[in-house]
Amino acid sequence: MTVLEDRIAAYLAHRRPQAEGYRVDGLARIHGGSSQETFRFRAMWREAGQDHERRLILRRAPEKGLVNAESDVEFKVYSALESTGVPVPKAHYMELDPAWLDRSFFIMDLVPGEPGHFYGGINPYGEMSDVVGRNFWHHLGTLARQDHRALGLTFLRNGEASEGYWQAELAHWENQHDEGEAGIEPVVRGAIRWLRRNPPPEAAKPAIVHGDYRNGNFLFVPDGKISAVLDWEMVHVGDPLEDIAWALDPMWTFEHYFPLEEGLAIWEAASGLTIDRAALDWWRVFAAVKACGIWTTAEASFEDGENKEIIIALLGLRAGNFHRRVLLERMAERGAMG
Amino acid sequence: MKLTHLKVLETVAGALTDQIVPHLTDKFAIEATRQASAVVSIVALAMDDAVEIRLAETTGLRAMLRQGQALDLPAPLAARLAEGLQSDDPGLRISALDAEIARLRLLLVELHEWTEGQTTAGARALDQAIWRTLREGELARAPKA
Repeated sequence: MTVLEDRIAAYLAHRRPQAEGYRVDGLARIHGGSSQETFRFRAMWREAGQDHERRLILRRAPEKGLVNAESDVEFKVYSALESTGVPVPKAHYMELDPAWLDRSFFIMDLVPGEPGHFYGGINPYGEMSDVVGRNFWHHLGTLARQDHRALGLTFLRNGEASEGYWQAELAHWENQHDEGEAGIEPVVRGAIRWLRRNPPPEAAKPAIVHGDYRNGNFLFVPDGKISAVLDWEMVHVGDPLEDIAWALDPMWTFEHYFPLEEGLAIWEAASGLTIDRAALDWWRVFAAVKACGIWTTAEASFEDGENKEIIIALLGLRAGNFHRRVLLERMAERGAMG
Repeated sequence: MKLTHLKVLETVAGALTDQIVPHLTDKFAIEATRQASAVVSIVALAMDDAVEIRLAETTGLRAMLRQGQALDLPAPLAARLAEGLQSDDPGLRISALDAEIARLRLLLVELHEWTEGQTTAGARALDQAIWRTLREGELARAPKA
């Protein structure tokens, strides 16, 4: 076993004292959510006279990343959503003590399936696009239907609020810009002011907002089922339209693989809500502001040397400009440029 | 023929994907190497016109600030613009130009916000001109790889 495999095995033995002979092998880093370090591995142990084997995922907090993700939040959400119909991996252990693996982490099941992506103009779903698309919108609608209070998720950001979600989220991301920007971005600041001057209606209901529901953040299996929705680092309570708008962002929009109107109808059926198109339009502008906030944090973390992930450098160089151009297009559509 | 930085970096980017990736077996390493190749390509193609883009941006920002000076600005804002436009030539270093752009952008954001609360034709025209200037700057900075 490698040093890290040894340490994981020691931790598992600590958490499951009734087991013996814990071994870990096949530890490999995988891409999976740029805000957390993700590893897959196999654990083997003996318990009640029988040998056991399980393939697991370790999600460890980075030294610094895209967003200031809190892995205990993600862990608790996985646990809370286990029986809701939203497919999530079974979460096993959460550990905040850095003594075990240097930083906080949690361990969950490795779920079968492949992640989609949005690179190179390639449809990652092939002939199963229709099935994946239906499931994609159905699961998001199912998430919007949930009662976060009944699931014990009031600790999430905005979890105790009953209104004012757009204001809270806009302030949250404006703060990310304030903290992360090396130099002020007039495009983003202008868009933020536009959003404040043209507010959307209050949310139809308080919803659990995944925060990063898009291509690449779920696993699908060959028959088109979605086996797990992943990467809940930015989960919070808010307007369910936020997730729809995010899923439709031009960088990764699902419109390339499934008809938009059909997808929105599936979402409405699953959520029991009606989409206010004007409000969705507001959230689509917000989505680009939020994306710029994420890339700003990425740039800052790489520039100050706290993060050395190459994907972070690539996103910092490419994605910020992309989303500022999206904002400029949105502003032009609204007559801002005459 | 003189070897250029662009040629060196383009060749390194190609080597990462064509010479290194085929010998890797770890998926994470393969993906990271491809990403490194993309980063090198972006940086390579951003060098040649880096100064030109920044000079154009400072010129555009200064033009907007000067246009603002012709309007009926609140005295404190007018004073800040007047002071801000008196700066020395920052030179041609990228870092100095970026610092100058950051300084001018702060003033622009303040001026832009002011125009949004005004109804005069001059303020409305400046509001739109600022957006167009920002679009030009962002399009010029779009990564070429």
